[in-house]
Amino acid sequence: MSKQEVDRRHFLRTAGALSTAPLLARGGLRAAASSNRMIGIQIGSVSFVDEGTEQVLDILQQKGAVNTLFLAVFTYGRGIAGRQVPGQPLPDHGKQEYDLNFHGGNFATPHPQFYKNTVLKDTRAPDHGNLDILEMVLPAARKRGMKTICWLEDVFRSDIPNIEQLQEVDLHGRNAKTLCFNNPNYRGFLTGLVEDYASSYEIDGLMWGSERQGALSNSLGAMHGGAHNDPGRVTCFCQFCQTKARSRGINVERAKQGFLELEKFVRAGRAGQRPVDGYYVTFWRILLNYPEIAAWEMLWTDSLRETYAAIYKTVKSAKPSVPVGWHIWHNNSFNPIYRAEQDLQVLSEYSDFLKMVMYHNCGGERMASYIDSVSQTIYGDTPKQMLLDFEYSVMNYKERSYAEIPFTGLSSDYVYRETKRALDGVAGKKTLIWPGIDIDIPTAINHSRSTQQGTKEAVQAAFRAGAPGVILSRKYSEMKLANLKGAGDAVRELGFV
Amino acid sequence: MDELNRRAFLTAMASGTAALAAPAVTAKKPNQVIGIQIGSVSFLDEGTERVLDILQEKACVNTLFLASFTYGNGIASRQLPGHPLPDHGVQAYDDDFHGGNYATPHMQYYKNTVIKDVKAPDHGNIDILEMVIPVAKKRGVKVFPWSEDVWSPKVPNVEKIQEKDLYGRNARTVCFNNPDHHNFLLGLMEDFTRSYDIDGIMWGSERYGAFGNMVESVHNRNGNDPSRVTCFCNFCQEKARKRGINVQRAFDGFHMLEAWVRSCRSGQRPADGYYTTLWRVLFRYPEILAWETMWNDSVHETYEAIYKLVKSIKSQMQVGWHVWHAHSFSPFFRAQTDIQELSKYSDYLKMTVYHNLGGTRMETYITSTRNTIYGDMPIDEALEFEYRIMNYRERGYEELPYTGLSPDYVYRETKRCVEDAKGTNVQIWPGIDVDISNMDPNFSRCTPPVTKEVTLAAYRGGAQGLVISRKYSEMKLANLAAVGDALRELKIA
Repeated sequence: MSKQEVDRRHFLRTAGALSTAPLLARGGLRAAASSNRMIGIQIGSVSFVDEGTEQVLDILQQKGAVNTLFLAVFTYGRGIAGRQVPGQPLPDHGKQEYDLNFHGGNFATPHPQFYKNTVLKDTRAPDHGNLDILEMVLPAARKRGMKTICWLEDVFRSDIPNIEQLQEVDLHGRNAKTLCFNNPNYRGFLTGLVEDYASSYEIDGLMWGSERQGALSNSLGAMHGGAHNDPGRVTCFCQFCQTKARSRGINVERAKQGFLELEKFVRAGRAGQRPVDGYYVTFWRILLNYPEIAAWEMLWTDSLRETYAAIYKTVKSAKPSVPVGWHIWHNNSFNPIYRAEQDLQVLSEYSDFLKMVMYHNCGGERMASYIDSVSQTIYGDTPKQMLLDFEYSVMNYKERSYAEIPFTGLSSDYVYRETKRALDGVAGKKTLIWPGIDIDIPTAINHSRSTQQGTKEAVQAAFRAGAPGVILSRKYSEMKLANLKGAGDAVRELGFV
Repeated sequence: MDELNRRAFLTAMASGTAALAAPAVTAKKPNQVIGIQIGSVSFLDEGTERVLDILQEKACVNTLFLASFTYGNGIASRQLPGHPLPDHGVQAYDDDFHGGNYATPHMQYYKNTVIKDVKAPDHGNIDILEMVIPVAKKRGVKVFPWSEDVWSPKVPNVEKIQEKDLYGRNARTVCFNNPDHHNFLLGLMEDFTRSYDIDGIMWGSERYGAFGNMVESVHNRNGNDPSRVTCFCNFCQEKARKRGINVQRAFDGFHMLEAWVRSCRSGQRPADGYYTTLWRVLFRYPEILAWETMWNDSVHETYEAIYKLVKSIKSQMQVGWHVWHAHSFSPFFRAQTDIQELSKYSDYLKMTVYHNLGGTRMETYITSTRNTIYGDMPIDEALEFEYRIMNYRERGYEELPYTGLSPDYVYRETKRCVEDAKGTNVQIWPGIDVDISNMDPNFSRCTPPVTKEVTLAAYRGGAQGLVISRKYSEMKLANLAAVGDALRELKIA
């Protein structure tokens, strides 16, 4: 029996199950209809397939007071699609096994007419046979007054036909796994994809996200988990980027030399070789000697922004009423360089909403991981606790110590501050800020875990700061129902439903 | 005034004659430079022989860094007005200090510049090099003309070499990319080298570029006027274009940075924080960094041009630079003071490690950043961060002006510079603080025990020479003797 057949049969079983749960559905509809805040949840197709559409919608409405689905329709990553990440405890709902054969791709139906301007055509996710998740979920959600926003991310696999033609090129000329925003085939694919969704389905919005940054920050490992970054594999230096750089007046050769110097600096730092003049000074020496590094970083960031703008324009052309926004990576909470590049006033020019990630629980171990990484590069001069204090100051947090945060997570005050900061950042603009709330995002097994009370407080903090909505993240399939209820309790207590 | 100077000179010469009659100090033959910075007025006030006696006896000095060209009273003239006069020299302030060239400008060397009339009028027609060199030579004491990048707006034609600020106004500082300034400096150095039997030269510039001047200050607690940063003259613009810098974008970037600085200093915390938004400006306009590096490169090109010229005339001359104290405070300036690069055109570097003055300067520097780079954090935290990135372990913010920096600072800085110079021929000669006075009289003062410790610390850090700073005319003899005590203890002298 083929995998597709299995998926098909499984789908039919669960589709049957969903029609037998009408009572819950009606209650949920009322709840959704009366909500005056956007209460979104990220969810992958597997949850509907595993648990049944109506049943899932019942749970979401009843427990989480959810009125908007952020349905993972395109990704090759299992951060937002698939069941629980293997190795992490399975939650108290859904199928009690890991989907080790997760593949990913487009979980709806690609309509070929939208993919004429790209060599990337064969992206249909095979995970659930011929199932089109939008076709399946949209009507059911709409019936309850729930909105469905397509949720897409910039995560690809390396075995997609023709993918090598879209891949970024690293500092040493090797293909990367990531795709280049300046590559016309990628741009053509993305705009085709979103036009497909906007034209082919009655969607209520579209959210795309890219959890990546430019070569400078990547070289420094300025992100959680950044200590594993290879500074020789930073991107992108492909011909499209080089041409674009030249048109911006950047000396390509000097930029490469600068990044090679930076690579040496990082490798030495990671090997524990303190520069005679100190890490921070030596980093600045490289940057001052090669301002092209900063120019290249901004070239990358501008290319991402242009991609936002292109997607925005495409969707609005296809269906002006469809709201378009972006998932802004958690690194916004750790790396001041990345935050510097997330200028919300600029982003607001082509954003109806911004999902600002402020995952409080996993934020603890992620913050510690960020500190671990940059304490070997740009901030290698400072002990980790002192660096964390510096970080808290420049990012405007008041959180626990380096030793504690992996085991406590960040507090709801972090969510409050981040929400408030983001709202201040879009002051005078129409862009909505929807904080992304952490519910059971996996952490190391012995590290802090989401709790019902912690989740409730995080949601309350977001609204106390003035958020017009929240997005419960990362995916329903990893959330415990009690914690989902924690979010719903906050919404209900605040009188939003 | 000339009359007065003339008289002072004659008096000094008379006392010098008296000194000659005294038993001459036997010049020892240390193999390291034990230098002292000294201005002409000290020889005139106290007599050449007498001064040399004191320097040799008390501090084992074997090299004079004789302030030969400056319009600043930091390295020339008597004690600064308002500060206690030391226990030697004429007990009066020279309120009418002027500055300029204390030797004799030989006009054939100044053909390629509009700057010609620079003879210092302070001591009439005295040529300080002519006066001091023969006496010093007789004792085996070397003489290095010591010149600095400090000008008076009264110098004829100086407006033609002055820098231009962000709004096109003339600054008081002069531009390294201005051919008239460049040629003047080369002419001056050629003049010194060809006209006098000197042993080396030292030149120094205590400045940096527009970025540093906008966001921080070593001398101004409230920071500098961000609109008056330099240089944006036509020569700099032309040079920028040749380097591939988009001049208009550089201007735009500095205007944005100016707006950022003004906003921050007016107490408006950026929504995304100070540190983050500074990065945002720099990413938006990397031309700011490019312009900063261009400015700094222009200083280094000046070093190189002087070095090559002097060496081409007298290859045995030792040519080096006074490196501004800012390298101890500003990570940006330290970043731009790459000793490996400087070594390509430097026989030695006088690395300023003024411990006592360093306290108030550090406090001033951190204070200047409290509303810019480090606006996000309490000032004590900013200072702790500063100590870490600069590798110091010093006192708290409140204490610093009253304690100065410690000998450990001198040790760390010397060691760092010596390590930086590894594999090159450049020598590190720390510039140590003996009674540098340009600070609040209520702040810490040099003492003999600490001055001795500082000298020991410099050698423990690997110093290959020493420059006692800033000028003899502000030093107390007990502190000067403390340097000598350390040297004798180390058997260097």
